[in-house]
Amino acid sequence: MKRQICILLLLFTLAVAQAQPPENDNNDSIHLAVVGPMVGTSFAIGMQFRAGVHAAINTLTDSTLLGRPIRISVHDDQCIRSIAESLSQDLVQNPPDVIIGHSCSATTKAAAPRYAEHQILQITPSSTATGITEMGISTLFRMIGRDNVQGQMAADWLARHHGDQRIGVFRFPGEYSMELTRSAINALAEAGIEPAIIVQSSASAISYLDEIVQFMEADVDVVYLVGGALDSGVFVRQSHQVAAPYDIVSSDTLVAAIFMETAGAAADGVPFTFPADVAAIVDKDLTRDAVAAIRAQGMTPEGYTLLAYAAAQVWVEGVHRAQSLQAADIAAAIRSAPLETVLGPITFDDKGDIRTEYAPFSWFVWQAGQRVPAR
Amino acid sequence: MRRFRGLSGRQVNVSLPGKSGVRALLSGLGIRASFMLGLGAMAVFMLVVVFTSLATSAGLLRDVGNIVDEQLPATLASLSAARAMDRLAATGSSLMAVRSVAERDAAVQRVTSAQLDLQQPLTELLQGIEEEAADELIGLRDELQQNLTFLQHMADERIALIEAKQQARGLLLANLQSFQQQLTYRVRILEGDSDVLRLLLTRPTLPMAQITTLTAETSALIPISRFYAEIEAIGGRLLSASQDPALSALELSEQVISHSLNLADSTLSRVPQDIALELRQYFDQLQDQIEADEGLLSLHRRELLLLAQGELLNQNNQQIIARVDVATTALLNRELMAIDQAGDQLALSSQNALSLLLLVTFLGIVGMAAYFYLHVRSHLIVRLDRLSQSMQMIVAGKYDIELPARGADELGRLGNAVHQFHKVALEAIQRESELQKLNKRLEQLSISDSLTGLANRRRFDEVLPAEWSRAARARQSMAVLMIDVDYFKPFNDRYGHQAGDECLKQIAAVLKGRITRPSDLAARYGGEEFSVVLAHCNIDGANVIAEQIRQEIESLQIKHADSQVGVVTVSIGAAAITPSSQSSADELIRCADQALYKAKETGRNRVAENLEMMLPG
Repeated sequence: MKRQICILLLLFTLAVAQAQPPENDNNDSIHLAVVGPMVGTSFAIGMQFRAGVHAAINTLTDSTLLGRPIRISVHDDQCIRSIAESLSQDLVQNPPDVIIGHSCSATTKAAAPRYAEHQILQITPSSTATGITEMGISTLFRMIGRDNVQGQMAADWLARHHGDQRIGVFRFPGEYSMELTRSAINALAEAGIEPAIIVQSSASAISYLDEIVQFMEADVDVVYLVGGALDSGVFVRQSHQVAAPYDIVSSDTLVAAIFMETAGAAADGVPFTFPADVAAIVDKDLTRDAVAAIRAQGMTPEGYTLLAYAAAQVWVEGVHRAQSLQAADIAAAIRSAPLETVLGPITFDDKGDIRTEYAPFSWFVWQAGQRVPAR
Repeated sequence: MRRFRGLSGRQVNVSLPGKSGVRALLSGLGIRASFMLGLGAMAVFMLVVVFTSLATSAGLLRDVGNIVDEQLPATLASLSAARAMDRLAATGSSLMAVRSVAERDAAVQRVTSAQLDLQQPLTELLQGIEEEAADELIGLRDELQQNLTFLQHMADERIALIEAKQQARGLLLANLQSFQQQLTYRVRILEGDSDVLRLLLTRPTLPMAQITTLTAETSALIPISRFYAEIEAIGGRLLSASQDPALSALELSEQVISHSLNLADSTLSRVPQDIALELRQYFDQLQDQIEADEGLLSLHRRELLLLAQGELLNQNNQQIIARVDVATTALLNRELMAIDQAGDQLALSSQNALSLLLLVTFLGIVGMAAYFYLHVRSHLIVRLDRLSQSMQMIVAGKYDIELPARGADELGRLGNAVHQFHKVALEAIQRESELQKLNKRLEQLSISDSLTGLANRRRFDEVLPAEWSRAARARQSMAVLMIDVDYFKPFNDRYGHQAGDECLKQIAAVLKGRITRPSDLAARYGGEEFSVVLAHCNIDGANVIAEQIRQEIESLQIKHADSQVGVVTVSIGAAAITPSSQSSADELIRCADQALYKAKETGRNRVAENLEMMLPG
């Protein structure tokens, strides 16, 4: 995942990190661990996790579960794989009953096997990498769609709008880019469409003019662009400057200020997939309490707040159903029937992937610096 | 003391009984008692040896126990105290190495446990050493603990510094990230736009308007590229400077960074105004973070100073430990010397004990030998000697001797036997003496007359021929007197036989008194007739002697009524001859008889001689 969120208030971050609730050593308590980037460049995600979980526990319980008090602890993995690994080692020394996190796919992937080994239920609100739910861990769930779903949606879009045109694919060697483009190509192939050209470049290149010339020479009508925000911005900007005669379709990485700054006016009109705006989609009645509770935490119900809220909600419901804190029991209970959550009614498949009534991703488009639903 | 000759022949001095009680007792001991006493003494001596060796080995064991119980623990206390002190000092290094609260807690825990570990061995050590050394050790311990307290404070300070550094680092990273956000995409735009410009310039018909705009935009961005590089360099240098291991390296880094900041500042002034305004705040922030007291570099300097100070303290600790080592080594050496001395003492006393044992054994054996030698020689052999001497004396017939003591022991019984032997011998000698007397008497009896005691006729018959032969060899004259009592038969008749015997005895006595020469012999010839042999005597001599005899008998005045003179008288015939081969003794007797006859004839009480015999051959 390359969801680099701008960092504005580091002092605030530190204050929050220091303001972690003191750990309650009451052995009788139920321990919920929130894990994510609490400091560093992605700290905002950690903040959202923390706010969402607290809001959920405050709203859905009287701070007890099965008659035992709930204790919430917050842990920082800095969205760095090695830190996540050592953190998971520390956590299982005194294993919590549930872990809500991690955020970045790499950290989730690194830590999940150890939690599973110690029979700790894990729910990640934001890790989208396909492989996470392909590890065969039955006690791992995620509240967000898989990346490859974006690829499939892109294929649908391309087939629908550019089915009879020449399609180019521009990708980078990273896992995210390769996975999305691969699932898109596969889905296109199912629809009987084969891309005219697939160009693979390296990230952070000085210029992508050569690649642009390649697409132009291949006479493509549309390019499916999957890459980092800055690289995507440079590609879109340069394509625009040389008046490249193709449309660009992209993915969720375009939701970044740096893309907007780089692409400038060229950003306008580029459609892209992005996780569905739950607050906008779901019935306001369902989210009212959650939104109020999140605001009470001093946060706006944006980003991953509602997903974190929903993660806590799923766990609480699972415990209620199972009347147990055993990860296997709760996991079975979660899968046993649809759950009513702030995301609407949801179910989980055997792999732990969420299914919602609405698509997990939606199409958006930049319009004068604003992200608006694409028609 | 008397001198006796021992069995060996050498002279030895011995005590005689009765001199003193013990000696008396010893000298009186028998063989068995002597050996019993010797063996008893040996047994007692063996017991003494055994007890001596037991006592010495017990003493040695006690000495060894002393070393084990007192010296060794003291030595071990020195060692373990020094080691515990060493460990305590070593905790100082771990205190200076802490980088987090958890590490600090662990290090403090180590310090505490090292302090606890030190308590017991130090207490043990202090008990066993003199005050001065104890004071020194306590002083060093206190100094060490004070240093450790300082180090703990410094560890706390360092943790605070590290946390502050972490924060400062976070701020710096945030600042650099801000720069990145501000600069990266602009640099990418610059790069991208330049490339586009290059492409546009290859177009057959140049889009001049676009090229102009792009060129203006791009050239304005060029200082940004340099500024970005400079900021990146400053950031990298800052981050590495915050890890500089020494103050000198840090100072160099500070100079470099300061220089780079100046360069970046001048670059920034060439950045387009609107962008420079945006960047200026971050640049000011960066400068603040570099120069402020709470900035990363300042914090790192303080940490380095702290570490240097801690290093000094640790060095001080090492010096303290060196002094502790010196002190404990001295103690240890003293303990070791004490053990050494105790060992030497032990060896010495064991040697002494061995010597004592050997001496006691030697003395005992010598004593035993002396006892047996002297006692046996002095007493047993003396007694045996005396027994033997007594026996020899007795055998030699000397009975007037001091007999050996009698007793119940073997030698006493032997003494008894000697006494018995002495008695028997004495009795035998007495009996022999009596027998000799008896024999003499018997012999006397056989040659003498029982009534008168004069030689009898048989004797006379023996002597006469012998005297005859002798006189013949010597050609000497010899004489014979024949004496007859006058009127003896009437005397017997008148006065009785007893008176007759008495008369004869008196006459015999006269003869005895007159015939005194050993070569002469007076004998009773038979009845009232006596004879006298006179050797080396002529007739004149014989007459003289005969006359003297007659007169003396007459003068006896033995009353005889039937005699003419009224008293007993004798008639004596004397004959003398110088024997020759033609004559014999019988001839002489016949002549004497003839003379006697003549005396009788001529009136009795007279001496007559036979002249015929006087003629030669």
